[in-house]
Amino acid sequence: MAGRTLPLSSEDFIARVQGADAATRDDVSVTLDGRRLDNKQAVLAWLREIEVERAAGRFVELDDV
Amino acid sequence: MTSERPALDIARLLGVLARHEVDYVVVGGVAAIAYGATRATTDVDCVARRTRANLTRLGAAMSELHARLRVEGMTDEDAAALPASLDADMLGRLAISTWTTDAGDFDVLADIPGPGGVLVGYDELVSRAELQDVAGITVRVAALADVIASKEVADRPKDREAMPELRRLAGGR
Repeated sequence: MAGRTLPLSSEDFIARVQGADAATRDDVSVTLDGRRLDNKQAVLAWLREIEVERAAGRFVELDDV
Repeated sequence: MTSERPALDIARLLGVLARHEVDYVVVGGVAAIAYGATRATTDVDCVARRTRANLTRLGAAMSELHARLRVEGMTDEDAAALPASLDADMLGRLAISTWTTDAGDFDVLADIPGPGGVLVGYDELVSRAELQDVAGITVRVAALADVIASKEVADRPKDREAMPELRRLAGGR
């Protein structure tokens, strides 16, 4: 990977990022199987499910690099 | 979240990721800013390389920044108390994860939508990425065409608002 270096200086980039609009609140976490973790109950249910899966020795498949 | 969230400190956030040698590509509004966009929002979105080792490093970096899930209706304190372990297994189960950290909001994506809605992952994004210096750290930024494609598909109000400027910037390249 050897991309082109963008022309914005570090100082200008940081200033523009810090000065931009605040993040909006319309982003939501989504699991790989499409469930939206958009409230506390959904998050807790998902975390409990992970614990059950791990206890059963089922882990997510990832490259071992 | 219903409580005040920490302001973005992008140099600190990206510095911690660099120190933990996390492989990622910046996408979304912050990537757009690197190309000159002015109408952008400032949660840092990234597509992380989905290997066990890299997600382990990412989890360590996020732990250092006290990352907690960002969930509408939950206070920062409630989110920090969730029994979430920042490890590769948990991060690997999420297509999109939205976090608040001590250095600002930080979202991790498994991929972003490309033209026609086809998902584009780290390997493809990094092959087209460009480089931005941030406080002495070289950060990989998704190609402007990839940023535009993802916003076209997402089509949220903030994406539609940003699109004319992004297309103008793309036309000037």
